[in-house]
Amino acid sequence: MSGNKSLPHVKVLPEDDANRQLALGFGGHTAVDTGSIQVLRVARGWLRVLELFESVHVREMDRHPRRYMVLLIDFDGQPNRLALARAKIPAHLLDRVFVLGVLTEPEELRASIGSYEKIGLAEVAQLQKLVFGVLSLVLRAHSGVQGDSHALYYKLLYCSLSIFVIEKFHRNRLPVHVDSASKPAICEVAFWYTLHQHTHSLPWEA
Amino acid sequence: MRGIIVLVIRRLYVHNFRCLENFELPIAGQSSLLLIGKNGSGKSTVGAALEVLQKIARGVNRVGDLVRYKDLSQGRAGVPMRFEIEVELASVSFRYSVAFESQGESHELRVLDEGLFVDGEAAYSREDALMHSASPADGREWAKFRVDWHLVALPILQERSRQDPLYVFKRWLGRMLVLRPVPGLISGESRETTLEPNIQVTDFGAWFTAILAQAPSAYAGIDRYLKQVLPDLKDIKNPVVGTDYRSLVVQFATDRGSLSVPFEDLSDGEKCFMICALVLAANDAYGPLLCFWDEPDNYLSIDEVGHFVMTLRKAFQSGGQFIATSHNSEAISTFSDENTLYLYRKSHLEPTIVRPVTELDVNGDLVSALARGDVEP
Repeated sequence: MSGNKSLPHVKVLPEDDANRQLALGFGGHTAVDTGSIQVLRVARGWLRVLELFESVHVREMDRHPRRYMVLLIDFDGQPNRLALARAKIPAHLLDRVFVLGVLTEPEELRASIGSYEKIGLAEVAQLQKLVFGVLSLVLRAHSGVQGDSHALYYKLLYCSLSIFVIEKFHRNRLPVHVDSASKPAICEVAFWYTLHQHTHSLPWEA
Repeated sequence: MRGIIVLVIRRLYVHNFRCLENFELPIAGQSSLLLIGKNGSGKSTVGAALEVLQKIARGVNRVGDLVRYKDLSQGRAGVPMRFEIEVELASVSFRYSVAFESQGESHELRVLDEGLFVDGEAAYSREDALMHSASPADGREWAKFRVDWHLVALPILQERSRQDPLYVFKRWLGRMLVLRPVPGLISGESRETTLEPNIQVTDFGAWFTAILAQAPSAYAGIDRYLKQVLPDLKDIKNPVVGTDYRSLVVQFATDRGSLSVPFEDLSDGEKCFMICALVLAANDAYGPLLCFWDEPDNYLSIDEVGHFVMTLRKAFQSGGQFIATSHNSEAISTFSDENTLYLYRKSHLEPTIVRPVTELDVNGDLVSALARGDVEP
């Protein structure tokens, strides 16, 4: 599986062991091809994630144009960390690198869910379906997603959004079963956030 | 198919068997589990205990062919050796237990007690040589007879139909996969078929043939998986090359041509991919199964390990249970703390203890702590 780098694939670089286990839930979900996602060794610190990305992965991404990366870091309640991280990404790779993570710490998220892996698995399956369904419509409208990268984008964002939206639900104590009218709005905002990463606010936080 | 057949292993208990004393594997509720620990901590012995139960279900009933005097923990002959397994299969609970006692170092161990309980009711039980068998209709005792106490009773009891709980349990237990493949010994040749491969998987060809006979559509899944790990794979052929004799041939093809390779000439790692494909197919075709794979990362290149183990973990999410042991950092990294168990022995004179990693005080990430030797219960 690892041999076929000509196909779209994702490398997840986690900051610490908690984020590694969180990422396992993504890769372990049945909707994700095992061969298309690999969780790398923990970097031990968000700054180290950025160092490793710059020193190792930028060059590798240039060598492998079908590679995408997720930098999985803790924001520790500091939204400006996102801008610092994004500044390390060369302009030509911005579309292939995602800086993701919980706004606080995954340990808090686990406390409310019970398991890092379950964040990406059964406990949130219903929520993931919700995101997955709406996302497909949003993706079709997005001009940047074309051809065979569509499937990978689809899966990557599906995973990425799950963690993001779930955290929002938990942080704001919103019920998982949101009403149908707000589902598209939630997902579209989350999608927009993931692509552009300009804001941490969702409608109900305003 | 497996949506309606649920397997839950509630309990695996082993006592006085090698380094396992009063040992209970906390497997309930986990679709996959990783056993880690230092050399000699007892990881493979868990597989050996499962193999004893598997052998019984596969028809080995002579006690001397199952366990020996030397298998008693510290040679403690005065304490029975006991194996118990509790599973829930298709909403029916089964509990099987068997205990052996020693009559001295020069004597074969013998059965002390044995029993199979279905939804809490005894299908049969025995003490020493005296058997009590129950009627499947009303559960009332209907037969008492004596069995040679050097023979385990489970393999010799005749089930009445394929619906008989005795048949259901025995078949499931016999089909349990306990794997420690030795690729160099796997030739891909077969004269017979089997859905019950041996621990070294030297009967790979027979297993391959049997799975496809049981579920021809399984080939599509085998092909799909193998083409992910071996992109130039074209197909696998299993032609008859003599009277009742088959030999697997693997074909590779690119735009530059094709190549046929006898199975035995594949690399050790490639043979492991083939075994993995059959494990996935078996769980799908006649599962849910319990699969214990001792160090599945053996023979694999470092970049393959993570995908390989994760593929197995995912396959068992929807049915069955997968247990792996490993010392490999890449394999360990594909499990979370909540599905990783640490086995530990203070010395060769003390028994194995088992702790979930979630209960350990691990400083930093687990792999680094293991490499430092800083993980202790």
